[in-house]
Amino acid sequence: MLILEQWINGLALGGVYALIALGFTLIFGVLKLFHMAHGDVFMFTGYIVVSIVVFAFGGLPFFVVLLIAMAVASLLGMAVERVAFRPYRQSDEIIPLISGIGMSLILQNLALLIWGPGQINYSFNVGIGNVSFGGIQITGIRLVILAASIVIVLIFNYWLYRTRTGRAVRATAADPQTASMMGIRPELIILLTFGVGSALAGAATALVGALYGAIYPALGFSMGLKAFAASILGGLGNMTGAVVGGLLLGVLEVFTASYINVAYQDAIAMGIMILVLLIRPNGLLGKAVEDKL
Amino acid sequence: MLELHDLTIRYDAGDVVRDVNMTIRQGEIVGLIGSNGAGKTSIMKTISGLVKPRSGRILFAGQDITGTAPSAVPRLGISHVPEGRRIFGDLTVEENLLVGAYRHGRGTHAAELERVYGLFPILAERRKQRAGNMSGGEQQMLAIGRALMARPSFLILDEPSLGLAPLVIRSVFQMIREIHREGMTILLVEQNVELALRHVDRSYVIQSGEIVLEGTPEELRAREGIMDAYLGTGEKH
Ligand SMILES: Nc1ncnc2c1ncn2[C@@H]1O[C@H](COP(=O)(O)OP(=O)(O)OP(=O)(O)O)[C@@H](O)[C@H]1O
Ligand SMILES: [Mg+2]
Repeated sequence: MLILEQWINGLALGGVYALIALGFTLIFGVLKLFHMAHGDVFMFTGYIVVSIVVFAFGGLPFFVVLLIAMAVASLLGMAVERVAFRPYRQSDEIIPLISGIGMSLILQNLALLIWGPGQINYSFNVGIGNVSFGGIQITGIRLVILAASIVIVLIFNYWLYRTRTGRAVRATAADPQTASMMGIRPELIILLTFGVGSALAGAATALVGALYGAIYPALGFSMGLKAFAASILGGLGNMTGAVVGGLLLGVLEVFTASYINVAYQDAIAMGIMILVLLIRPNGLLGKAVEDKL
Repeated sequence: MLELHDLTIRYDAGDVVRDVNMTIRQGEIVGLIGSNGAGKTSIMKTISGLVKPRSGRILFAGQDITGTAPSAVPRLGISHVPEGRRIFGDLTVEENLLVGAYRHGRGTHAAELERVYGLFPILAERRKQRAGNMSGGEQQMLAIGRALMARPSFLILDEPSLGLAPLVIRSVFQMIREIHREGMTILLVEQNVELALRHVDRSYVIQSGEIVLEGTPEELRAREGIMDAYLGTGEKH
């Protein structure tokens, strides 16, 4: 029965990774750019949300906290795109990559400056207690995380694959010049992509916050690394791949922590990622060759 | 309907199109023929706003549209079927068509879809299929259908015969005829001179970035020797 509990814990953690990875892989799909500050948008959003929600208002329903986090991350993500990436659209691809790393450092140091180097602890009340059935115990937080990630992924999926704007995003990802000839404004789509991709990271911020209730400046780096790993594991630019990669990473970490040693969880997760890439260099769901003409 | 005045296009390496003047009147189907690298695609891209001209003006329906952003061009009523088709391979056939109707805003675009499916029944059959999996001819029809979804009054076709088998070319050109008969003004770019001359009212001949001849197919055929010299088609006769 313990094993079922661990599956649920792993999937809940994986759901959060999947959300961050989805944003990362969406941005990669449209701009062909590794958004090196994606994890830091996640982190910085956490500080802002904790500051305004916990300390200023307190006691807000978790659903509202989630929406605020998504909105904050979305605005922050779009600001990052304007400042760090838009000026370098015509430059060599290494330039925005470096600019992204610079933005990552700026956000980390800004967090250090404003909130200090120490860890800040807080708690979000998700409003659901622990659930037990058939001898297993699951914390309400994990159920909320699982449910919220599923709902958010479904809404995102609908947006990307069933709406006019989602089609425009996919057309722009495939061929920005031809998309512009259809009346689509690529710059608007890029901004929107950062808005939506970062909102997904913002949702993860609220969910991880509910789970761990702790934030520190370097959190963004480790989360960014996990989003990176999950996206690559599933196949860069592939939405289903990002979800599968995120879930796999979460489950792996939970099982490593409980059966081997919590100290090895990152090492084993990364080790498995490297193994997968040795066998499938384009990730689990990545395409072997691009068949474009 | 469309007028190019002294259009000059320059890339880093130098001028590729010099002082080009062209006029396409409403309801006409006009050709632009010329060999590899003559500058045909560059002119089309300049009309669509993808390339900014070094000098010269583009007038459409009497209005100066020089330097219009590419995304604003469909709203003028100009649709461009690009060289090499450039369909969105990962999108379905119907999604490609719906992207073509993007400029109309939200909605099902049922009327436009019906019209395009009527012209190209094969697209209706394949509507749910991934566009990249279709044959070259089907992709060319999709590219034309996608351009028609914007309900243009002026259609640019850049080498629609490129890479297609003769039989497929024939059916693509039948469709182009049909679209023209329904009232579309068309600017047709071709390397295949005979093919182009069979379908146009008039044609321009471009060589190394300059217009060297203009006339009806009969007039151009009558000057076969000159045509051969410009287009290097001599060995075919
Ligand atoms: N983006 C670009 N930058 C620099 N040079 C270019 C660019 N695009 C085209 N050229 C050059 O401009 C010239 C004209 O090219 P263009 O594509 O307009 O010719 P074309 O008549 O369409 O040829 P084709 O029949 O092969 O399609 C060529 O010499 C080409 O190499
Ligand atoms: Mg060309």
